[in-house]
Amino acid sequence: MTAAAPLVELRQVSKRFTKPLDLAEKLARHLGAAVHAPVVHAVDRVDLQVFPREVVGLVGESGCGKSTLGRIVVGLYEPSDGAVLLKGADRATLSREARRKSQLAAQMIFQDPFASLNPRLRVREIVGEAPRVHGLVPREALDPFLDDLLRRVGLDPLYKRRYPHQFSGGQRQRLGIARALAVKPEFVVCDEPVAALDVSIQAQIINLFIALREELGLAYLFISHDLGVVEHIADRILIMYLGRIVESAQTEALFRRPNHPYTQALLAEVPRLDQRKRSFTPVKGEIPSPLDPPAGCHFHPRCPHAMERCRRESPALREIAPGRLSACHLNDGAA
Amino acid sequence: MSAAAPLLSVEELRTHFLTRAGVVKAVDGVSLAVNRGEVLGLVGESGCGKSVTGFSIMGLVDPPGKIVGGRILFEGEDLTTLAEERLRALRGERIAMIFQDPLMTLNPVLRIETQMTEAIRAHHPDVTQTQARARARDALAQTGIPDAEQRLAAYPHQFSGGMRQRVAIAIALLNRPALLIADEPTTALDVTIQAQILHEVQKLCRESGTALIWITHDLAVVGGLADAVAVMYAGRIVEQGPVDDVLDRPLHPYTLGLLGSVPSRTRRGARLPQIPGMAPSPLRLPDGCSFRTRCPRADSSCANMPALEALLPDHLARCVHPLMEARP
Repeated sequence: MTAAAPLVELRQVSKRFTKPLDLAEKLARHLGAAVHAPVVHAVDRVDLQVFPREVVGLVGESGCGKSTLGRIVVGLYEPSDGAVLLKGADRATLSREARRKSQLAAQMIFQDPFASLNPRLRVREIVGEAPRVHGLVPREALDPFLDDLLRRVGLDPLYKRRYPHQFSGGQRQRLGIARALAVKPEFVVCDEPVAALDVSIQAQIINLFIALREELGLAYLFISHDLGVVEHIADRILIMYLGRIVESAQTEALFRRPNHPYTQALLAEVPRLDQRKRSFTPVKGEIPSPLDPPAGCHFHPRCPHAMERCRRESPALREIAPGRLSACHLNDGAA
Repeated sequence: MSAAAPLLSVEELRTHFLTRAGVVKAVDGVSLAVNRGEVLGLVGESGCGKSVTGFSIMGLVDPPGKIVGGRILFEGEDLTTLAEERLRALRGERIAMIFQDPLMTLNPVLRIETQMTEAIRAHHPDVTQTQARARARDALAQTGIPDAEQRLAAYPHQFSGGMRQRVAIAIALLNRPALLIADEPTTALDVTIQAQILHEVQKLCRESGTALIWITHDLAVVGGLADAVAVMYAGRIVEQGPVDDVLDRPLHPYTLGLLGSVPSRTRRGARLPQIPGMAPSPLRLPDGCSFRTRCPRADSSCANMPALEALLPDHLARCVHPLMEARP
């Protein structure tokens, strides 16, 4: 990659969620039963870098940990292990003031535009609260600032006095975007921002993301299960499976020659407009429970190429070509 | 019935919702036909009336909704005039439906076995419980559920989303219906699971000759599955024809706009050719063509509602200014 320092860097970040034992289970353990609090490895030793003005796509199926990872990046969750570096500085060692500043620079846009806007606040408060509280915009300049911001995301400034329920799904997503941009971030985590929208509205919002990136020089971590959307917008793509990154590559390279069997399966199964009357030949099985992931390579129970070694040993994510990483034992033979 | 008559023929169906705010014309003059073993993709965005069309065929429109006009001919009978008793005999036996959310259609407090054997014995009282159980087990196995014998005893919440949708499909296909209506059944599922469901449905329909109406907003899924496509906008079909004609050489500007809105690898990073604005409120539809407020080709002649006409052989469109000149 380039010599510029990454805006955000994750080093070997893990996130575990533990379900506390209930009373009966605690009692049982007290009496000698082998009861352990179940632990979900939502994110398992992930490295990630996002450079200025770069769009990184993070793709995976439900439950793979992609949203958890996004929340760690913006600081909504603390990692269980590993370090989050913001412009080279470890977030855990920052002073309160520096940490607050760094968090303003990384904002998040959520999937559900219905759940992520306070229904009892007007647009003026939803979008204008953060820049006012953080002292980014003087009080007398707030209104022109909001007008400008709303116009930028394609909303009429007259809507400032409205409540969220007076907007359609696409307009609400624009509000969510305006709210994120109000604190002038350099980096935005977009967590499935178009998944809940109709096709024609989805295209409008994708266009808005592309335009904002050009105008404001933003970097995105674009989380989605929709490969078509990510392919369209991302420069580089990470594929995640059950808490681990299994492949990472530039977008063209990934789509031209997917390396990991999981990536290959994902690409093969995306319905495409140019394929007619096709036979769907799916990979077997479902994502295993993250409470009890398979040993070795997480993908081996569904993988058509699984060998004995895949059942025992988890493959490391390593470079198979410049700028390309993949975690698969098959690459050992080829290398 | 002659050999040429389609299995299902919907003629000028109009389903309206009489709400306090006014009459919502959810379905307003929809005509379509499905032949035996054929797959029809019914495509449109939220609120265009595609689901209500499916519900109308099933006779599942609840007040304030009402079928106010048109006919639904299925195997020679008009479903809109049938007695409720006769409809009940057809539903689940000759026509079945699968829904987007299988949690809503499966009874959470009954075992899968109970729900499946009930569906068989409601229509075939002479089948014994043991026979019904065996058929239920085979149906589960056919839709790709492992350990079908054990899984019969499970409750719906013990299945994952994809498995639950398989159970719903297994129940829908239990009595070998002639027509299956699928309302966005894979929208809530992951890509790999969606591919599995599409694979099963495709296989089952091919094997049993079941006709399929696949209701969806996803043009790419329709492209991979359907023989014919009907595109709906604001309660009406705006374009209809064989899948290749409609997706490769669309006539209606709305279809073209929808196709352009799908991100694809050929235009990476570029802006998508988007449709401006949003679908009009069903209470305040513009006069004439409903799409004219968003249409780049609209002019004053669009103020009169165009008819759905065959502009090319088998290829119908409802447009004053169809995309005829830009044909490759």
